[in-house]
Amino acid sequence: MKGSASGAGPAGATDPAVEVLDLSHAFRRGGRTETVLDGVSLAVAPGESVALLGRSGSGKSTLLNLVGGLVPVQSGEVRLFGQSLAGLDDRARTLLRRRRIGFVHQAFNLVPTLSVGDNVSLPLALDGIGARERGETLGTLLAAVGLEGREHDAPDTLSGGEQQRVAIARALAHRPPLLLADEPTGNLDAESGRRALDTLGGLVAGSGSAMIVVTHSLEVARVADRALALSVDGLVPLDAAQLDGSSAW
Amino acid sequence: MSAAPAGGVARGAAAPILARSSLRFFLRHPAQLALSVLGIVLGVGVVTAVLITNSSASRAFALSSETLQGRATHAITGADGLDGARYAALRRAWPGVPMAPVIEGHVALGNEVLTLVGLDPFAEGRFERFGRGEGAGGTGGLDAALAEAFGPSGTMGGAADGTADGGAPGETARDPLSAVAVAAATLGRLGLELGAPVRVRSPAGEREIVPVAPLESDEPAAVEGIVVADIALAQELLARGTRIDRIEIVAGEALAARVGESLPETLRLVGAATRNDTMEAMTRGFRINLTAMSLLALVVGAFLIHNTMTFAVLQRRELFATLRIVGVTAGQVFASVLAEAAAIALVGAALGVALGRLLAEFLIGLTTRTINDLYFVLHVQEVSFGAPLALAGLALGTGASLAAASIAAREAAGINPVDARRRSLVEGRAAGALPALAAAGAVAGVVGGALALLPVQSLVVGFAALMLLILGYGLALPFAVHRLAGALAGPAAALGPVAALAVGGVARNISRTGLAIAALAVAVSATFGVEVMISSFRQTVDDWLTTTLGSDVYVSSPSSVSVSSQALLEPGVEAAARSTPGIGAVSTGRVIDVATGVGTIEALVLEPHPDSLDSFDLVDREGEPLGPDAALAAWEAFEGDGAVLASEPLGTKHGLGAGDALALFTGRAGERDFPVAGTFRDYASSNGKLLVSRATWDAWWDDPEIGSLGLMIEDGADAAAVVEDLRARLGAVGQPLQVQSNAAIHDASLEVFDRTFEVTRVLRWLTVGVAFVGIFSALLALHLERGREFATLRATGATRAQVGGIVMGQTLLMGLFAGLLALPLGWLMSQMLIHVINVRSFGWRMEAMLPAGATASTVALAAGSALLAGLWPAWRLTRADIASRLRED
Repeated sequence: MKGSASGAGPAGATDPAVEVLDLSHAFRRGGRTETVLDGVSLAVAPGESVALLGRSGSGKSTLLNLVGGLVPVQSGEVRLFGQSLAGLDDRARTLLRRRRIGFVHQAFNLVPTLSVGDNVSLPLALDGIGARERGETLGTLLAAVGLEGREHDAPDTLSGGEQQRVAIARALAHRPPLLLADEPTGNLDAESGRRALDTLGGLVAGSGSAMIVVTHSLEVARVADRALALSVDGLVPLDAAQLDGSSAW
Repeated sequence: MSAAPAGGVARGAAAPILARSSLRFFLRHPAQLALSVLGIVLGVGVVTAVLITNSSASRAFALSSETLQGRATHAITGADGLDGARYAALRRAWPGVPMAPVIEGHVALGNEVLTLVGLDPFAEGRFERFGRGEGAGGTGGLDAALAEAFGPSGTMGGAADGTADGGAPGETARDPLSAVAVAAATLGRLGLELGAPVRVRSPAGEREIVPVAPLESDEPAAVEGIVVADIALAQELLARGTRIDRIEIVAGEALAARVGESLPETLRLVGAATRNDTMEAMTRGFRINLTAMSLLALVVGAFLIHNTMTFAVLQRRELFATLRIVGVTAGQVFASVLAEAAAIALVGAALGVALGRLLAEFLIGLTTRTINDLYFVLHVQEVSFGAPLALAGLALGTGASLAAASIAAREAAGINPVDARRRSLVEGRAAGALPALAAAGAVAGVVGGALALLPVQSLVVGFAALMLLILGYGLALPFAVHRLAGALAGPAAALGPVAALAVGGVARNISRTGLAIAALAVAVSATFGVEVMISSFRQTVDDWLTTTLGSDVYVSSPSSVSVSSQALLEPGVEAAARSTPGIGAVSTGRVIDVATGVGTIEALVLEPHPDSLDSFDLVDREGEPLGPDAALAAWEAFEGDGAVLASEPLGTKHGLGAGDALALFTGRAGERDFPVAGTFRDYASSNGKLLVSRATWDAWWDDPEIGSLGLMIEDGADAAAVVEDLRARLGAVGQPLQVQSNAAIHDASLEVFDRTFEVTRVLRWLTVGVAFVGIFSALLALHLERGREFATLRATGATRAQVGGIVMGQTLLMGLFAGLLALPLGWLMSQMLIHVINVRSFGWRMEAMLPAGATASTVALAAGSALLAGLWPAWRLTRADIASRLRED
């Protein structure tokens, strides 16, 4: 997939939050090499939210994982807040993730043997934040996602929507300037999805974080400042009319 | 949810599909499959090796006995053999009864101990010893060898009775006083050449013998290590004068009974089988212990199999739930899990049997040496292995595996399709069940303890008690782990997120961690328990040797073999020792086998010096030391009233103690009851020993010989000079003698002790090997199952080092828990081994002591094993592809 997309962020922004330059990526499958990204470029300004749409297998999640430093870059460049990931070893990429990125996954990925509270506090604990501060943040976040008083519950005692809201709270616990969400409503029913989306949109807007959200849902895409479609033609901006249409991605 | 119907097998078309599902699961987890198989291979390998070893030793002994026995049905013997003149008299009295004199002993050639059998070729015709060899036109193998060795007419240097009626002198090119026939296989193995003289060490000193003929047999293993000589040569080499061991006869029961009735009271007739039974009985305790140690490895192996299969089920909870949702019955799930366990077990057990066959080669060497040290000379050159032993190994392995896997299969069958995905529910239920499991464990432990305290001598009951104790502790252990981990959670949180996650993970994953820790703890406790037992035993023997070697210097005839010496001292030796300046008190001893009402027992005929009696610790029936008055009374009865003293093993095995009587077959009056004055501590023989005073011996046996001297060096004398003088004076007597300080005997005895337990140590380390495979398998499954969890941590910002720290920290903690919790169980096991198993196997009582550093090394072993086992999972998890793990469903 070839293409590039850049957008104007809020006024006063300096370095883009995310800058993807001529990024290519291929997988080896059954002895064959399969290219999923081919010369993709993208810029996301601080505080800006971008929705990535595309058919299954178009490389949306791969792009997200490359931006999040979960997968090493093979070709091209990824810069976060002006810093190239190419020069960073695994530890540095991990620390960058810990301090500046929040992740929300389709499958929630809560640690099943940790309580709701421990799951949300996990990024803070990993960063050495003290128990008191963690407790205060936890209370605020659980209230924000509508799960007050549930900090001692086990994740699998919650509904899918509730679990995703816990995941959103965890992703934002350390106030990251960048949030990466991969199909955040993909496992949820319409009502739960809408509620999770509202929570996500509200918290991201309030925090001033940039966000890249990968989705098949036009409803989710409409929450973003702009939407891009990843297709054989590369990253193509979608206009309001396309977003209002009924075509599913 | 109910389990499968009895004998249930996945029925109908579902079975192949379920089988493919199982196969794919294990093919996707090859390491787990390999480790499961390896655990069974090692467990079965150890048991099979011991089965083969025991069988080979028994078969070697039985073959050797049978081949030597030939067609002999009975044997006539006296208190200590009989004089050769008796043979001539009996032949004259019973001309129609085939009779043959036999004498047996040992000579040493280099490091090889050979069994010397003295026979009278004229008398051998009807006995057909050694089967039918290939020589001499199909006549007996012995005939062929004798014809070759001693000439066509079997001319020999003299007959057993010392007269000339051994036959007319014939032509022979051989020197009858040195010609021998040697087992063909032994000739080849030792590189001996026919006609070439070799020097052997014998009770009579160094002598030259000439192998002149090979001794062939249908069963080459049966004659391994056997040297056949003319009886006169054997008498000379074994320093027996004109005495023989026994006269064997071939007769039906009625005729034999008539022969028996005609014998004077100083001779007795015994069935040929009695001798074999005695030898079997002697080594029974040793063989049972060896088997028990190997079964311990299998129990640990079974525990680990349970562990592995449970993990395999836990990992597939959601799969089983899905299967249940689509209509697979609980019974089919149960049968499916059991079938996969059976397949793994069969492969593992088959490989285990093969490993056992290899391992047996090594164990047989160790075991034979121990039997030779402690009991009798045994040559095991042939590994006894066939279908029955292979099937036994297979049955034990698959049986233990299936029993262990049935618990996991029940769990799989009982999975609730609705709750299967709820990990917290699984862990919550597991944690909730811990108190009940602990209570069940406590009950099993109490029952085991009660069984151990039952006043019975059954070894089987003893081992059952031990197994119940292990089972009970294993059940209660996860509860303790949960509590301990919970208590550590607070302090760990203060140390940071890595410590908090590592410690918290133990309690939060108790369904997995509890099992893995219990398996490691049980295995490590076995090594600790055995270490405590061996150390306690060694310390007790060390102390006992210090006490019992009451003389300063001992003089004896060098033993040509390692079994206890019954060699005699020539008459001038005692006088030479007594006349040495600086030598004070002198005691004399004679070790001799005596026929008793409870079998043949080794007796020490003692003429003590004043300090000798202090070397014996007299104890009551419970092994407690006698008070001064009781001890004095026992010694007075021993010295003055013709009473004997029984060693503790003899007393324990046969319920003998002060006030009882024991029938001994005397030289002067045949069988006679002797009062037992008491029991004394003795660790030299598990078969038991009798102490008979020289005065009592002389009164009832016509045998004034002595075998050893215990000498006290006078106070103030220069010990070195006295010993040097003593050696010079003894040298003048002409008999090869060994003069040893008590310290030298002490050290040599401990060396034998250490050799004895070498096989136990080997088995112990094999058990540790089984345990290591188990913990490695458990940790691999435990951590890799949580791959997605760790990927989430990595995505959330945990560095590789932090993930590695969490995995290794948790692993270390599990190892430490296992090591620490193994100590109480290990100690309890050692108490069972010391106070129940040992007493019932050997009759030995001892004080338990904790060897220095044993606790630390046990904890280090558990923690080290766990850390080592955790390295690979940690490496895998830190290097895992985060993105793909996060997307795994």
